[in-house]
Amino acid sequence: MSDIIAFSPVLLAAITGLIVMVLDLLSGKNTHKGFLGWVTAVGLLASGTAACLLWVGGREISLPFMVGMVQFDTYGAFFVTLIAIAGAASSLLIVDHNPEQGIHDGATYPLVAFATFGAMLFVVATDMILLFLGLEIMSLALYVLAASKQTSPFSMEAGVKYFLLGALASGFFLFGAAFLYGATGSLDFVTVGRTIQDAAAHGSGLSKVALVMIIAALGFKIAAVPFHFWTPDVYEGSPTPISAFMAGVVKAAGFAVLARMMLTIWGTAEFSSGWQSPGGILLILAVISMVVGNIMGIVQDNVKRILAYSSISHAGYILLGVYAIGLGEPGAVGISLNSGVPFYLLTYVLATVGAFGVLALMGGQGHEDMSLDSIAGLGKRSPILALILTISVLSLAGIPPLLGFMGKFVLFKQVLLADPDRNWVWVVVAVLNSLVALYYYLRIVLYVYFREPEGEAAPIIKSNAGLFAVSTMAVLVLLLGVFPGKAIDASNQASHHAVLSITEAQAAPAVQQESAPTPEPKQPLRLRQVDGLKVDPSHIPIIRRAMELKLRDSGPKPK
Amino acid sequence: MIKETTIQSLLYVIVFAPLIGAIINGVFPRVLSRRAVSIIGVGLPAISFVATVLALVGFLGLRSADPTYTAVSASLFSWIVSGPISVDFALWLDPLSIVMTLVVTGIGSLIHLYSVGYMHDDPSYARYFSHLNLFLFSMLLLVLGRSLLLLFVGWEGVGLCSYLLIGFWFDDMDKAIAGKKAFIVNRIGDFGFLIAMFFLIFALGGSLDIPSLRAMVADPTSIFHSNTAMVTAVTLLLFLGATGKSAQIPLYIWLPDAMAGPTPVSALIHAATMVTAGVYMIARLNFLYVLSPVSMAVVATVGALTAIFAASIGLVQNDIKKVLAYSTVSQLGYMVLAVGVGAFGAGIFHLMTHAFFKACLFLGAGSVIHAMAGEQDIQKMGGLRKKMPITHITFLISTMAIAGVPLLSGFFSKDEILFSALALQHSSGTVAPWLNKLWFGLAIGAALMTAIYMFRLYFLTFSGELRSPDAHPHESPASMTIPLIVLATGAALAGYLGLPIPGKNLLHNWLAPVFAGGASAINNTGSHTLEYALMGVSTVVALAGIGLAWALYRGPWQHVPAKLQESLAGLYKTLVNKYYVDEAYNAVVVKPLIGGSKLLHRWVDAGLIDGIAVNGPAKALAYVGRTARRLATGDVQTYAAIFAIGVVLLVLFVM
Repeated sequence: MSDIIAFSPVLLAAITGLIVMVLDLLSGKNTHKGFLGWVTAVGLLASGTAACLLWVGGREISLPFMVGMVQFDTYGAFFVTLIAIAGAASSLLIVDHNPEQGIHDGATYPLVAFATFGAMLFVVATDMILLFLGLEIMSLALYVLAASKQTSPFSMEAGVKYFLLGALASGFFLFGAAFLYGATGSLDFVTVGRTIQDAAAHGSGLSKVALVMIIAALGFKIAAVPFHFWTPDVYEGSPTPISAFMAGVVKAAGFAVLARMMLTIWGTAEFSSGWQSPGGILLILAVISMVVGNIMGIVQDNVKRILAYSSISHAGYILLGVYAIGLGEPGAVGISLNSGVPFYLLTYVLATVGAFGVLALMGGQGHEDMSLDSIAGLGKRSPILALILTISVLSLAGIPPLLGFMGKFVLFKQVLLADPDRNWVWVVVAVLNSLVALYYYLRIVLYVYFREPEGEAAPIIKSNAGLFAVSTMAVLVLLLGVFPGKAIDASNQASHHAVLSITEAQAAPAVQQESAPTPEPKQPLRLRQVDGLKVDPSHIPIIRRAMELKLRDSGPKPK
Repeated sequence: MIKETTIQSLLYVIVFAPLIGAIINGVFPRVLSRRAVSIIGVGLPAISFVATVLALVGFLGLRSADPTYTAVSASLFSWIVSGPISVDFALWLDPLSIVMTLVVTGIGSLIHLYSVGYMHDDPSYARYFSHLNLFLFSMLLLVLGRSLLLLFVGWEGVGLCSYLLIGFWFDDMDKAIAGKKAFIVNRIGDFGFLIAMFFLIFALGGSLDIPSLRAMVADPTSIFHSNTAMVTAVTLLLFLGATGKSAQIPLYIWLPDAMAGPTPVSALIHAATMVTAGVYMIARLNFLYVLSPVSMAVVATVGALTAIFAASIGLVQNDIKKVLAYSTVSQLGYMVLAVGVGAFGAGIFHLMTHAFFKACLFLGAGSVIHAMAGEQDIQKMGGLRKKMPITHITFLISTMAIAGVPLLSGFFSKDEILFSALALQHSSGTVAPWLNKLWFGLAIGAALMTAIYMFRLYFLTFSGELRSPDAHPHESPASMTIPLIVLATGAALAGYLGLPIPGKNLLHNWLAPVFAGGASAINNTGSHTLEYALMGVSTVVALAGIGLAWALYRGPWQHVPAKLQESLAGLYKTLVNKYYVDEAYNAVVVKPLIGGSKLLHRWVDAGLIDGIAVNGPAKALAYVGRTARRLATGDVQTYAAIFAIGVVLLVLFVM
C-alpha cells in the first residue's frame, strides 16, 4: 500500500482524467461543461499537494515492485508540483475559452489531465521504457489538443505539424535508447550511466550517437534551436490555453528529464570539458537558442509568436544552466545539477502560463492568432488583465522585483561560479541576450498601454476560472519575487537529486531480486539514505573525479 | 498577565492592521460606501492603538516580573541573507519604540477620525484613507523595525506616502510640484542614509540589526572605538538623512511647501510623526553617535541654527499653515539640538509634547480653514473666538504650550532642552565649551520668537473683528472637535510625564535602558539650581514674547508692525522671501542640473547612446531577424529536414 502512496501524485493525475471522462458522459449533452475544468484543476492540484506532502514528510522512495523504474524524490516532487500547477491553470483557462466552438467540449479536460499525467510519469521515470511511455502519453494527448478547434484550419495545421515532427522526435528518442541499450545492455539510467562511465565504454561511438539523438529528441520538446521550428507555428495555431500548457508543462517536463538523463548517464567530472563533451553540445545549443530566439522574437508581430520565440530563448538560458554543473554538496556523490535550473524553470513556467493565460482570455471567438494590434489598448479595456500580462512579460524579461529577475540572477550567478575563468563569457552573452529580449517584451507592454487599436480589438472573455488562474500566476510571480527564499531552498533540494545515484537496490540487483520476495515486514518502503555517508565501492571513481574537479577549481591541477 | 508570545502577536497586529486598511480602501475604492471607507480607515488604526496599549500593559507586566527586561522581539521571517549581510524581518518593542508607537497610533487614530469630517466632501475619499493608512503602516515599520534596513524601508515608505499625500490634489500643478519637491529633496538625505549603511557594513563590519550593533559598539576594543573617522562619517551621513526627513538646514526647504497637502496630513505627517523620524533615528543610535563628538557637535549646531532660522521666517508669514510649518521646522531644530548635546530623553520628550500641541494646532488651523471656506490668509481672519469656541480654546491651550507658558507641556520639554544645551558636555572634552553658550543663546532667541509668532497668529486669527465680510465661519462637526479636545488635553498635561524632579522623571526612568549606552559618554555640568533658574528665565522670555505680540497685534502698538516694515524694508523683504534660500538653491543647484541634463540628453543620450549605441545594433539585429525569418516557412518537410541535418551535424561534430 505504501508504494501506492509514494506513487500517488502521479496516479492522482490519471485518476482525475478518468473521473472527468466519466463525469463528462454522465452530465449529458446539454450541460455546460465548464465545471469539468474546475474538477480537473482540483484533481491536478490534489496531485501537486500530494507531491508536496510526500516531500515535506521526507519520503524518498524507489518502488520495489517496479525494480527501480520510478523514483519519486525531491526532484520528482518539485517538477510534479510545478507541472500540476501549470496543468491546473491551463484547464481553468479552457473553461470559458470558446463557448460555441471546438475547444469547449467535455473531451478536452480528460485529455489535459492525461497529458499532465504523462508529463509526471515522464519526470519520475528512471528507465527508458517507462520514460518513453510517459513521453508518448503526454504527446499523443497534446497532438489532439493542439488540433482540438475543429473549425480553425490553423488549429488543424498546428495539430498535424506537431504530430509529424513529434513523431520524428520520438523516433530519434527510440533510436537513442536503442543505441544505449546496445552499448550497455541496460535500460536503467543508473546502470547505463555506470557502464558508460567505465573507462572501456567511455569512448564508445554508439553512446555518442545516442547522446546526440536523445538531445535532439528532448531538444524538440524543450524547443531548443535547431529543433525548434515547430514552436512558433504550433503555439500560434493551437488554442491558446493549449499553447500555455505546451509552453509551461512540456518545457518543464522536458528539461527535468533532459537534465536528469544527461547528468546521470554522461555525468562525469569531464561533463562540460571541451566542445565535444556532452556539456559542450548543450552549450552550443544554449547559445544558438538564445540568439536565434531573441533575434527572431524582435521581428514578430504576433504576440503568441513573440512568446514562442521567448520560450526558445529561455530554453537557451536553462540549457546554459544544465551545462554549468556544480559539484555536489559535501556528503553527496559526484556532480549535481546547477540548482538555478529548477528555480529558473519555476520562474519561467509561472510567468509564461500567466502571459499565455491572459491571451487565452482574449479573442476566443475564432481569433487564436493574436496580433500585437489586437491587444492594443488592453490597459483601458481591462486594467486587471493588462496588469497581469505586464507582470508576466516583465518577469520573463527579468525585471526586479519580479520572480524572473531572481531566476536569472540565481541561474547566471551559479553558471559563473561553476567555472569563473571561462563561463563569464557565456554569462555576458546571456545577459546581452536578455537585453535584446527586453525589446519585444516591452513592445507588448507598449501596445497594451500606449496604443489604440487600429483594427478590431480582440474581445475580452469574461471568465472567473481563467481570471483566477492568471491572477494566481501573477500573484505568485510578485510574491515569490519579493520573498524568493523558500522557492530557492526547494530548488536546491530538488537539484541535489537530479543525478540519480546508485541506491543499494540498484547497485546490487541480484541481491535485491533474491531478497525481494521477503521484504522486512516493518519496513516495506525502501528509504534511501542521503545524508549519511555510505560509500559504495563502485562510487570511488566518481568521487575521485569529483575531487579532481574540486582541486582544479581551487588551484592548479596536480600533475 | 500578558505573555511574551501574546505581545509578539500584538506587534504584528499593530503593524499590519493599517496595511490591511490601506489595501482594502486602495483596491475597492468604488465598491465601498463612504461609511464603510470611514469605518475601515479609522477602525484599523484604532485597532492598532488598542493593540499598542495592550502591548504596553504586557510589557509593564514583564518588566515588573524581571526589572532587567528590555525588549520584546518578534522575527517574522529571514528576509535577506547574502554574504556578510543577514537581515531578519523583525520587529521589537522596547521603551523607546513603545513611546513612539503610542504617539503614532494614538495621535494617528485621532487624526484619522478628524479626517472623516475634514475630507467629507472630497471625491477621492477612499484614496485618501488608503494613503493615510499606508503611511501609518510605514511609520510603524520605521519605529518598530529592529534592523536599520527595516527602519529604512519604513523611512522610504513614509517618504512615498508623504509625496502621495502632499500631491493629493494632483490636478493642481503647484500641489503636484510641492509633492515632487518633497520627494526629491528627501532623496538626497536618503542617499546619505544608504551610504551610511554600506559604510557600516563594509567599512566597519557592523551589523544592521540594532541590538547586535549595540552589543558590538559596547566592546571597547572594537573597531568602532579605533576608527573614529569612519564612525564620524557614518553618523554624519545618517544625519544627512535626518536633515531631509526632519527638515533641518540645509534640506528643510520641502516642509513649508508640503503644506499643499490636506491639513490633517500636515498635522499627522508633517508635524507629529514622520518629520520626527530623524530625531528618533539619532536617539535610537545614541550609542553610535556618542562615539563621535564631532558629529554630535554638528548635529547640535545644525539643530540650534535651524531653530532660530525658521522661527525668524515664521515671524512674518501670513498663511496660517506656513506659520505652523516654519514653527515645526523650528521645533524640530530643538529636538535635533537636544539629541545633539546628548539629551536623548529630552529630545524624545519634546518630540512627544510637540506631537500633541502641534497636531492640535494644525487640526485647529484645519478647522479654521474649513470654517473660512478655504481661506488661509490670517490677515483676512479675526474674531473667530466667538464663532468657533471649541477650536478657539483648544488652539489657545496649544499656543500657550508651544510658547512655553509655565505648567503646560511645552514648558517642561523646552526647558529641559535649554538646560541641556547649556549644561551637557561630551566626556571626551573635544568640544569647545563656548559652543554650549552659542547653542543656548540661539535656543533662547528662538524661544522668544516662538512666543511672538505664535501669539501673533493667535491674535490675528481669533481676536478682534472678522476682516473678510463675505465669510460665514461656523464651528466644525464633532468628528473634528473631539480630536481637538483630546489633543489639547494632551498638550496641557503631557509635560507631567517628564517633571524635572530628580528621580521622579517618569519618562527618563522609562527610557533609561535605551539610552544607557549614550548617557555614559555625556557629563552633566549643571546643577538643579541652574535648572530651576533657567525655568525662571524661560518663563520670563515666554511672557515677554506673548506681551510683545499682544502689544503689536492687539494692544497699543498696532501701528508699529507697518512702520517696522517700512523702516526695515530690506530685512522684512528678506524674511518674507525666506532668506531667498529657494532662489539660491534654484540658481546654484537646480538650474545647472537641469541645464546639464538637457545637454546630456540632447548630445549623449539622444545622439550617442540612442543614435549609435542602441539603434545601431537594434537595426542590425532586426535586419538579421527579417532575413532569418525566411527559414521559418511553415513547411513541415523543411522543418523535418533541418531537424535531421541538425542531428547529423551534431553527430559528425562529436565523433
